[in-house]
Amino acid sequence: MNRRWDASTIAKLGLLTAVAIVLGYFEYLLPVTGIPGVKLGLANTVLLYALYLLDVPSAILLMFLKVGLSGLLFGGPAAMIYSFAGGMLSLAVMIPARKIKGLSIVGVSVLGAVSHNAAQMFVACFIVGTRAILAYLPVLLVAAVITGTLTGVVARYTFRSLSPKHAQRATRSENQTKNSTQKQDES
Amino acid sequence: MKKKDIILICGVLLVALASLYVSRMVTPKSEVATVTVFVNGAEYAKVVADDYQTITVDQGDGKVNVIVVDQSGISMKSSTCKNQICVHHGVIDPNNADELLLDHWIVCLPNGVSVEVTGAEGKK
Repeated sequence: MNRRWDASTIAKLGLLTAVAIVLGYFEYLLPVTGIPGVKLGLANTVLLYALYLLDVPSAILLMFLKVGLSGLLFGGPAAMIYSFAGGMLSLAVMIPARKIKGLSIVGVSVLGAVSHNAAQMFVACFIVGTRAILAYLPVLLVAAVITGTLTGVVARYTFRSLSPKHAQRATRSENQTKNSTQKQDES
Repeated sequence: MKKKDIILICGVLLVALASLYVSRMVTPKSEVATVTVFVNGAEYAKVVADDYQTITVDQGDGKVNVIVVDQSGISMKSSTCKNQICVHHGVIDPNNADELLLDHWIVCLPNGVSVEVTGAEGKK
């Protein structure tokens, strides 16, 4: 990777990492769905932001930071394995998917959620090794469609309120706008 | 939301339906309601649901799961895992285990213990 890590990039990535961790922690405290393994995945909006308004290396770095720090802070090593698998596969799918013509950010978000859940299923399959996981696959797929659509819509309206020009500067106000958009969406 | 998004969503939902079907296909049909306990993928115990008992799975490394089979059904009474999802799963009634689309399993992911309840569907 031959990129310049100037102060503004580092500050921006730091803020985005913080937003991703806070969103993840919020979901950890308030499991909205009540189904084990199913989360809203609001932190994915931050990854989508990085993919659409920054670049691919930033998105990958953000994913590693988010998963690593969340794991250290509240998840523990077992949760970290699941998150890493989910994060890596969803990024591997979303990076090419956003180039597909006719697929909006909502579709990319759904693909990300589906691949995130699928990767976690593979890890679970490896650990438990029974058909139980197969029985759970339909639940996780349907859940991924719903949560992926929701986070995709959140991301779309967040981006709409931030022009790309705006996104290059004033990172602070950007994140305030972002948070308020998400709060509106949740309420 | 564009057309391809809708196609994608429909595709995923179709895969979900297909996997539900496959999951139902591969579930063994038993003559009597049966409880099977798996530990790390290997079968650990297989008992008839009418045979009321408590199965303790002690893996020797601090991981202990207690499964109760009684008249009310099958449940995970206690587990040494952190999230306790298996304990909160509740009781599975073996009489309608085959009708339950997804809930005929109690899984404790951290301890690698899973319990499958199959009904008496094979008798019909």
